[in-house]
Amino acid sequence: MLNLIKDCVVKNTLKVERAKKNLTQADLAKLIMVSRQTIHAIESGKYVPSTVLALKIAHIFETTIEEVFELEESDWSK
Amino acid sequence: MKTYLPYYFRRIGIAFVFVAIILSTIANFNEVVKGFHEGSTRALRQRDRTYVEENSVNYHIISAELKKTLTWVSLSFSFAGFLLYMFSKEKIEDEFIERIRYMSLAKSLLITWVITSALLIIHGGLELEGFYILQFQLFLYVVIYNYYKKWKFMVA
Repeated sequence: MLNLIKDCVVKNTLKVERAKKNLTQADLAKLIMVSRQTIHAIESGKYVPSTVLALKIAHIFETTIEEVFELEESDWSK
Repeated sequence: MKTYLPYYFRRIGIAFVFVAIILSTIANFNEVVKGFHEGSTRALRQRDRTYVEENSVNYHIISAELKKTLTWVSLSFSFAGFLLYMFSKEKIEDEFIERIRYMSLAKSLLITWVITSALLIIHGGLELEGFYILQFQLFLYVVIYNYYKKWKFMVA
């Protein structure tokens, strides 16, 4: 309960996808209507986004969620 | 956790808390004077063992009635301030901020319970009024929330 933010470690390629689209964290945050802090937390693996947010991110990058986010082996044991 | 108030209510809440601190200090001014006087008398006696206090000091500058009123008003301002802060929106409200709020609320509740229980177990005769426990929890919420928002998940 006390660590709602980081129950799983989900790898993501947000930084790479941002670089492909030439977007800063602030740009991406504005596009999906979240704070820059949220984008930073997702990229650094400190926060796992909700399904809706993950779908929005994938839509912005014109790719699928699986291309951006990847489950780690350790997540299956939780 | 739903937030209902615009962002600027946060500043109003902080202002209320400052007012509460000032009123609380005024309410306990008698104790401030007493403590200062006793401390200075002790220091003077250490320097000069023959020192004798010439005039007795009046510690009752604030009457008991005024003290009670100021304490009650201070507590009200404090509650109002913390609640305004708690229920005011961030500049950008998103799911991450909501998660931080829930975590801060849960942790502040848990820590308050632990500390209150520990105090009651250690000192069974301690009389802890509900208002002060609630105030402590609200204060703890603000501290933990800001720790998460501005330090732990700070943007580089």
